[in-house]
Amino acid sequence: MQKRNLKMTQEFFKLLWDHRMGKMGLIILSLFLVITFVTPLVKNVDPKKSGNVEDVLVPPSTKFWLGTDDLGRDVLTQILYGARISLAVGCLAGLISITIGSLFGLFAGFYGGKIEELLMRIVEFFMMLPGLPLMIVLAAILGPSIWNTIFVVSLVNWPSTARVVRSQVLSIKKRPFVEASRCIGAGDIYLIFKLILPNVIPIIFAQAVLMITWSIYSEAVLSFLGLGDPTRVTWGTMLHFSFASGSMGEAPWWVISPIVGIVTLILGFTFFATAASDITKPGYREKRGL
Amino acid sequence: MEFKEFIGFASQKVIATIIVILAITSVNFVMFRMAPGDPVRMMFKDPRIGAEEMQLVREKFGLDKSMPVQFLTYIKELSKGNLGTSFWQRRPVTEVILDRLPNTLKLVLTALCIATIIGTLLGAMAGWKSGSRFDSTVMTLSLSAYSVPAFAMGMVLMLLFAYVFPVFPLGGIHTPASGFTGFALMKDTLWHLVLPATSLTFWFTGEYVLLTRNSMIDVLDQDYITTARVKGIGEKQVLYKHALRNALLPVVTATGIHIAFAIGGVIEAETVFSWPGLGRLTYEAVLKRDYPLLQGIFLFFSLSIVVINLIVDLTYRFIDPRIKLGDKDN
Amino acid sequence: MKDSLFSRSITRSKMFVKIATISLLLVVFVALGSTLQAAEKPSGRFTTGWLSSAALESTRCTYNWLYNGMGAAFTMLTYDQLWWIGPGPDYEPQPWVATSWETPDDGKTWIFHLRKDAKFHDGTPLTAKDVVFTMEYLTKSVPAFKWHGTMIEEGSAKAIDDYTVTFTLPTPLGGKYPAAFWIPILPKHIFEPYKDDITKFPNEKAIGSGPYKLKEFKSGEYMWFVANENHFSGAPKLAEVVFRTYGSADAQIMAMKKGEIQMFGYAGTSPTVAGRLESNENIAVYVNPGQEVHFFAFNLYKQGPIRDLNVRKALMHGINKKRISDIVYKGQAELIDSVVYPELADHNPNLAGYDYNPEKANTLLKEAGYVDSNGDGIRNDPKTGKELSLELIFTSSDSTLVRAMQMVAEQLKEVGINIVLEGQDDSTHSARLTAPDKHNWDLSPTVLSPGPYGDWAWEVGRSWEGGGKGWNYANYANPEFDKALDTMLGERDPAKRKELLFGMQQTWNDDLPFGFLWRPKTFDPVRTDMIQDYSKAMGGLSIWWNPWTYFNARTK
Repeated sequence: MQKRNLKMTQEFFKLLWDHRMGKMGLIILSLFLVITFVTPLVKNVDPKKSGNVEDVLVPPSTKFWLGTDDLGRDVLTQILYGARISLAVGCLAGLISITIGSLFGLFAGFYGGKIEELLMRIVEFFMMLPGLPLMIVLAAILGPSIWNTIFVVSLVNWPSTARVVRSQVLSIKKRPFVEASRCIGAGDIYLIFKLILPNVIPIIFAQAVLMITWSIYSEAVLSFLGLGDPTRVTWGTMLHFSFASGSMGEAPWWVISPIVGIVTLILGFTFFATAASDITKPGYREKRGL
Repeated sequence: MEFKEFIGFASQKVIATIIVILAITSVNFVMFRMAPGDPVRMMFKDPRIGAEEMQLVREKFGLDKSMPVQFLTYIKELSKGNLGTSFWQRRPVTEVILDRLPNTLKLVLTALCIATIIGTLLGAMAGWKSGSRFDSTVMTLSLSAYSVPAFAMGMVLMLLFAYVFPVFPLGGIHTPASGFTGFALMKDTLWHLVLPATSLTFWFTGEYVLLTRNSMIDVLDQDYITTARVKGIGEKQVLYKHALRNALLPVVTATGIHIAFAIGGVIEAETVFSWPGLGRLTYEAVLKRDYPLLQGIFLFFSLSIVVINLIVDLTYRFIDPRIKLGDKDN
Repeated sequence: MKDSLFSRSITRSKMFVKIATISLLLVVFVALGSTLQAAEKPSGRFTTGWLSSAALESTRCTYNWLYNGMGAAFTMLTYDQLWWIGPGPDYEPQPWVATSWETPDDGKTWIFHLRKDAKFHDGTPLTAKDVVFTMEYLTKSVPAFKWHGTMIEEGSAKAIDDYTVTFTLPTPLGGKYPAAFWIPILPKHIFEPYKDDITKFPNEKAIGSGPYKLKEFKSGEYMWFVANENHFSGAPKLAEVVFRTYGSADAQIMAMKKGEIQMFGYAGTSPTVAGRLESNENIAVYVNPGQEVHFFAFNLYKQGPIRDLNVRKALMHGINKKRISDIVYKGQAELIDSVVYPELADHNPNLAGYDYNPEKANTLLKEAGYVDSNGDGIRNDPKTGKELSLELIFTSSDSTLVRAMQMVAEQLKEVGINIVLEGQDDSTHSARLTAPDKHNWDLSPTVLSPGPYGDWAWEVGRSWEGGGKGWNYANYANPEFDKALDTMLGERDPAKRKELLFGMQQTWNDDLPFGFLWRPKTFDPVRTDMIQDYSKAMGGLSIWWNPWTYFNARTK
């Protein structure tokens, strides 16, 4: 069983690598993983520490590869550290959203009836709340801290997953092998988690990536508006300070770098997800002549 | 489906909707007031104003009463159609919202119109030619457009076209003190609209292309398309009469949802271009803890989402011959 | 060979097509912009750019109508006051609607003589009844207009005849230019119907008696004024004045470079922005001493290390104010030690202050018993053994402040104090700051803008029992100080006032309820090629609530 899973994973990545978008996605995501782990070892500088007076708003040079900001701090260091936070926030918030959404979808789809009604009403309620304004209000109310950002972002994003998962569960529920297990007398939890869940995984996977990219984007927007944690360096706060300080025109490197970072990271995930969904479609391997 | 059935179904939905709206209203009410921060104090940051004076202002705002009493007063006023008076602007909330609403609508609807047309056309073509060079180019471009946050695109556009090539204004919706009326005013507004609308259009187009393309691919896989082809119907006919029509259904649903969410969510473009819309208003109201205004705005947003969803839902079920009344899978 | 040439030419032509398409799109875009752009604006117009945070949403008299940046400028142009503050260094009050004034019984009764030729924009003459009405109306029906400690009660304002007004106050007012009389004179015949709630009146036409009339107003976007030719001071030199708002500092800068605006709103701008504009030969940047006094408020209510005077002293010695000023304010912030500006006569020059002296800080902390017992670089409380950790709360919306506080935290770490930074939004911060008994913060940066007549700023030090609850963030309780404050507020003899003020400054320096930091200069970029006779500072500090610029400037 283990061996089979290993072989399947290996094959998955090989197919991904051969896919044009998949290749790009893998490269980008690996790059970010490397950045996350290597940065503190190589560049052990506190990105928040202020620099020298002479170094304020210096354009990219051999000393400062991406220039400096209005406090004389190296932009490259900030980008690297910001990558870790954007990635962490995105993944954490995304994972929370996907977990809540999937659980709701699984239980609602499986049980049906009153439970489904109740759960889906809750989902609908959350869907009726306007996303971005709600995030703004909550972030302003709870205060600017990175944990609040994660909380707020995951709170707003989970309903769509619930809906999608529920649809999928409804169609899987009707399949013969599920009916058969039920006849034998398998318990609910077994049915949900051992039988249905594995078949919903592809959908959940696609949704997970969506949640992660949406979370990365949401954090950037919240921080840009000034509702993020101002004492931390994230790409969103970099954009916020560059916009608010009026240095945008004078120091475009300070603005362009975080934008490129955000776009690349989101693209990495999106390419990965598009390729993955292409690959897992039935008939993909036949079309490719494998 | 039967008209009688439809009416029954529709009224069910409407009632459920009203209940949801009431629930949202209550939650909003409590949520805003639970926030730390005092709207009265926000107005007077001056040691010259003493505690008694602020208490008087609080009484004027009804903030000295207990939460349940405040809530009941609010509901009572709401049932009369009165959304209250903004703490900060001292104008009726309805007036404040209606002032800003047209601006947001101008921006959002323009961007959506352009994005829908370009997006669906490109997406349909890409889906039709799935796997080709054209398809992958379009896909990559759309994914990239979709991945760039609207405010980032806005900042770049502003740098390029309002500063480096100074042909567009630096923000705002009107040229101040211009004395323009009629056609000149329209031209002026249009001039201000181009950059913010473009930054939003990029993002919307990307999304529409992806949506339409995937929908088209799904549709082309269906049996009735194969049947049509087998029957000998020409490619053009297959495309227009069968494929496109069905592929566009999910797009219609998406558009409805988009309008509703976009009304509240274009705050980023509004911030970059100082566009006086509802998004900015929300942000300012939160900072000032202007409860009546916040409640009014959120009620408005939720109502739009709910109503538009309802319309889309009913329209969809009405026009799609495959949907049956009792079917829960959609 | 042939294949590669062929494929290369195909690739090249594909590239060419891509470049051609992009260039075509760019050209179309630029062309679109140029065609839609409208014609040039008329001359004789002076445009000021404001950031949208200071924008005025309506012409209604809201409760903070006079405090908001654009609102103050708006009232200044459309309404007249009794008097205005004059130029530095003395800032003598100048007559305006009031031609002369006296206080025969030492500050308790004030008599103002009004000029006879002041008229409202609709032709109605401005007389004493309007002044009386305004004073009573504002202090009675708009609760926030009551100046703390100088309540003008109903009936205490009287019109002796059409051009003489007397005010009888419960306590005498010291000083030459009391804040109680800084009111815009409202037309009684227009506002009277709304005397129960001033904010119900939309005031769309904004009819006042001022040198400018409001022509058009678009909420949050712009205000358009035209000259009032019949004003008693003569027709203004500017034909039109426009205020317009921008959503970001960048847009403001670009607007000034383009010549769209000739001046920034009264808050001026930051040193970074000013630096960007200086290189432009059409723009002159006027640097003036600022109004804002930045200082730390220490929570003396909290039972903790912050209550220890030695800890506070060490903290102040541990902050390198000059370095923060150099980096965050580009060297353009004056270091201060008191709430009275250094150039004023009432400033006490003998204050010891707290210079940057880490050794002294270390000694003080060691003597107070705070030593690093576990070698982690942070000192420990001798009684509890816990880390010497202080919570610093601040508003995260001001990026300059964020930077400054980050530097403070860095510097204090070096002397073994761990600063926990907590950024909050304005509302939350205000709530915590004004309730030190409910919230466990240790210190917070605050700002006051006293101006040359800043008696009222001392109220932050009035003890809670003495009536200072709500504004005394530090919960400083010194009954002697309260007494001195009350005496000073009613003292009319300048020499005695000076002595009292010297003493009060010394008290604050010794007790250290507030740690004074810096006073940022103001930067006013002006398009000197488009306007002349700009006079915002008028020989002294740049005061945001003065009308001199609009009264004196002319277009070129």
